[in-house]
Amino acid sequence: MSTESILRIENLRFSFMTYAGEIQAVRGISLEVKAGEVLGLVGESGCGKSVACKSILRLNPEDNGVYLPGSRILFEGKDVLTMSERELLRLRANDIRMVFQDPMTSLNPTMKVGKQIAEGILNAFPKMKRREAKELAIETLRDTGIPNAEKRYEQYPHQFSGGMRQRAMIALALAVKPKLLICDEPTTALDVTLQAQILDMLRSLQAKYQTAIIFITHDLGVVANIADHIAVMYAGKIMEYGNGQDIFYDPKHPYTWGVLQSVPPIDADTSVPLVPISGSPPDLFKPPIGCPFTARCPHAMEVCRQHYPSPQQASERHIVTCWLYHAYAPHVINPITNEEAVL
Amino acid sequence: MSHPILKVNHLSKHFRIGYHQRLVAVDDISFSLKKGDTLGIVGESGCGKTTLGRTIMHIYEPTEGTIEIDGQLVEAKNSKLRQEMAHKIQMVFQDPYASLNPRMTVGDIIGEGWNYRRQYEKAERRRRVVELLHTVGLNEEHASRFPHEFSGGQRQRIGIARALSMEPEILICDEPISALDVSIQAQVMNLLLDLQREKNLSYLFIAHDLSMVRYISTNIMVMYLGSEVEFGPSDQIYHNGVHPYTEALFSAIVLPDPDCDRLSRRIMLEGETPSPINAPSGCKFSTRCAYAQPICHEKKPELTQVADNHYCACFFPRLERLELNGQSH
Amino acid sequence: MQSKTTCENNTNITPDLFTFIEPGTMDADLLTRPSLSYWKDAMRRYRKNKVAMAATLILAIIVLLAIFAPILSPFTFDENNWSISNQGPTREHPFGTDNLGRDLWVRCWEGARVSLSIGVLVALVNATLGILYGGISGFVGGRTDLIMMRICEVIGAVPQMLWVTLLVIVLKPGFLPIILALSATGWIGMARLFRGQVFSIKESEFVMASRCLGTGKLWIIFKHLVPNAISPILTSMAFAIPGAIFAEAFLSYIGLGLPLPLASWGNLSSNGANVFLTYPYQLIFPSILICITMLCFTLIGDALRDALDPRMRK
Repeated sequence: MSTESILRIENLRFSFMTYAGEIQAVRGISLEVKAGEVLGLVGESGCGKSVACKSILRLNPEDNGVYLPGSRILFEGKDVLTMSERELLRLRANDIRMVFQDPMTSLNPTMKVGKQIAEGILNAFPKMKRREAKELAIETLRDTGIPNAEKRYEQYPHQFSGGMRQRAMIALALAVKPKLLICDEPTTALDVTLQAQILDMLRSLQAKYQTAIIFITHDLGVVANIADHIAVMYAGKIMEYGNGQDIFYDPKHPYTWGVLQSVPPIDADTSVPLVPISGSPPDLFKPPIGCPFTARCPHAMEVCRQHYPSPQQASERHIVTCWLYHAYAPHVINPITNEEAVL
Repeated sequence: MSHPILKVNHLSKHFRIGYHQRLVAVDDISFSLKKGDTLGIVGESGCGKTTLGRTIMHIYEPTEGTIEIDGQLVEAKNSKLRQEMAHKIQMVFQDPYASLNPRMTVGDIIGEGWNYRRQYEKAERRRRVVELLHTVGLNEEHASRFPHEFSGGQRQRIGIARALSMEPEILICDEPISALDVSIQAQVMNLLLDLQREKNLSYLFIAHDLSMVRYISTNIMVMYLGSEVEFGPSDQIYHNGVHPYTEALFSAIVLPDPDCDRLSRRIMLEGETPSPINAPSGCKFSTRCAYAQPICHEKKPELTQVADNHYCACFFPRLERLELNGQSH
Repeated sequence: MQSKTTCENNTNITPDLFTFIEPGTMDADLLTRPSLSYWKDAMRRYRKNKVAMAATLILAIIVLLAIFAPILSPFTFDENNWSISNQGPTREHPFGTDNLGRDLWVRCWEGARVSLSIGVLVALVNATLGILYGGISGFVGGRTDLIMMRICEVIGAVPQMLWVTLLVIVLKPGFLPIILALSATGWIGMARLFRGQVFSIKESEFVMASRCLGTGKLWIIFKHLVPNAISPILTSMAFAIPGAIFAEAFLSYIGLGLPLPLASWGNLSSNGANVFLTYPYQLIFPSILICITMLCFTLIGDALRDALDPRMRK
């Protein structure tokens, strides 16, 4: 696996301009995805993870939303935000593909499924013959675990069951062998057993096609299972970034601690209480100046209220933005490791 | 306690679809719930768990079967009986955005039961509403506000306050935390647990988050296409379920633990859950079961005891799993 | 691994800032926006719509003129004066006079009273009948609903104007007969609308929750169904009024309008149309009034629909 990064997001900021005012959806995030890697983007609803990922393909509405200056999204060195229309279309057809949560609204109900996939392929490779595109589409359908792929090619979306539609949507996205696949909560609405099947399938296809994946979810279990690296988002910013071992066994940010403690431990019962995070996420209409987690953080300090912390490196690819790791900060105990909280 | 607080006997609920077809949403369910316990009801889409909750609540009239609360048969034929039943059993709903009337203030929503019965003077009603708001962790000033001003977690708390206004013994929680963010789920769960301890409430906890269900439940009932497939103590079902579906279901859980490689032990089911309208004949799970034998396609298995307080509806339950220790997952 | 690092660029970070904040001092459950009920919020959004506010103002002026202009004028609507017949607009007669020398200014505003009354009354009757019929049908459901809706469809299969024309012929033209005729089939649209609303709200969880509390059918209808289902009805009424006004004008054109000397915008336009080539002002003034009024109601209806739609809430 090569270690070159194919996607680099730098200081991305995006706001929606409503007539009530500015809603700051994404407030300065920086990320890196290397070829063939799976990045999990975890956060609660409203934290900006969907908006951030749509930005990569410039799918956000640009008539009432704006990318604030200083934002850069570099895909293989080229800035998506300044690309021409033609380059952007090519990017969306060939290089970066997206899978959404609800397959019903992503597939055209009036067109045969196979035809939709074949059209996507021809869009990306205009020189390909129709017959070849059809064969590739059938092969991709087979790869995503749809039995009787030739027959299913000729069917309409309403003839597919829920799980199969999800697979068809993934086939639609992966048929062109994109370099990056963005999945926006693809398994959230699915049953547990179906989710396991889809995650399994995604993992094997990712290994086969060597596609990098950005996987958006709010489910810690899912992200532990599928992601190599994880970015934890809150209120439009990234609180912590690291690999699976870092985030689950040595997390540094109090928000990550809070989220891990809210989930019942594997063999515990009600004698071991859940430790919730009190309150609710802040209103992005008037976001707080300092760290957005201050109001809910059990270790909040005065400096947190006034200034936003800069990222600190705990290891080469483990970064946390929190004042607790500043030289002046008092000692606290990391509730997950039960040791002193240090970088 | 001589009798359980809730006893459900052979409860069924059928819906008529069109002229000839029938949807059997709840098929011959029986269980009992002891006072102070929590029964977790799990199953995937189409299993009928929500319909079961609503039928017990008499939102839907049962097609067959009986329900006993505290030893007494429940009937909801007329208004007076319905009002009495409201003081025994209440419900918390799934969708915090749809379970509160957007045109009513929070105070009116919580006090609706009293308002309807013209119970208590206005000042006393107000005082009680404030008391309930504090019980669920909200403030007095929230009483004059409208639902759209609150977050999902807060709305769910308002729904719980409304249910508590009737001082019920049993609370049916229909996926109360599914629509909430993870950090908020724990808040609501803790609230439910605290209330249970303080008021000795009994819960029916319907959910699809298996880890949460295992955490809060005394016993778990697994449903598949309307039928009861397995019933037993929470930990037993989680680690040592003997029904093939239970085994597959709990092995599919993704845990927030990267080192835990479940892939090798995961049972992958073939295909998807069939539609409840044309349920398979014989055992409903037979079409997807890896261990199915010819008899499974012909006859429906009855619920039989396999261990202490542990029942399973299967001709060939995987009894060897009872011997596994807790590290199977 | 380093234990802690310093923050390089910010010089106003001093050690004294690193003191813990008391838990509970920051209100984590802060509600930042002021409390607004649904109706207040809807009115706020309506008021922001400048076009709608202008239309409301114009309509208010028209209503005021309809009330006061005939009272303040020295002329009455049925005062014949052949000596000044068919005169164009003058200072004394701002809208001119008709073939019998009657002052058209007064007649137009008398006509406004009649036409607006017809419009509003028809809309109200339609809404009331529609709510009752659609409410029962939707709430009871099942076979009752099936039958009631089929009745609607049978009645509605015949074009509305045909019903209206037949009824007016049978009942003989007049104020009340016209209202009855226009209401005879106009309620069907409202009924369908309300029934649809009732159907969807009936299944919502807050209605289920209310039933769990032991409440009865009437309580649910008035506390839950009506307040939530009423919004599209209000919008529909705003659109129904200009429809009725225009229908009345149509009846006048086919000779079934209000009998003279009563004035309505309909029969004024109709008479004016007969002499349009020689005395155009006799058609122009009432027509302009009809057009402006209809436009205003339509704009108000549009604005109401947007204001009352909770999904448009920003």
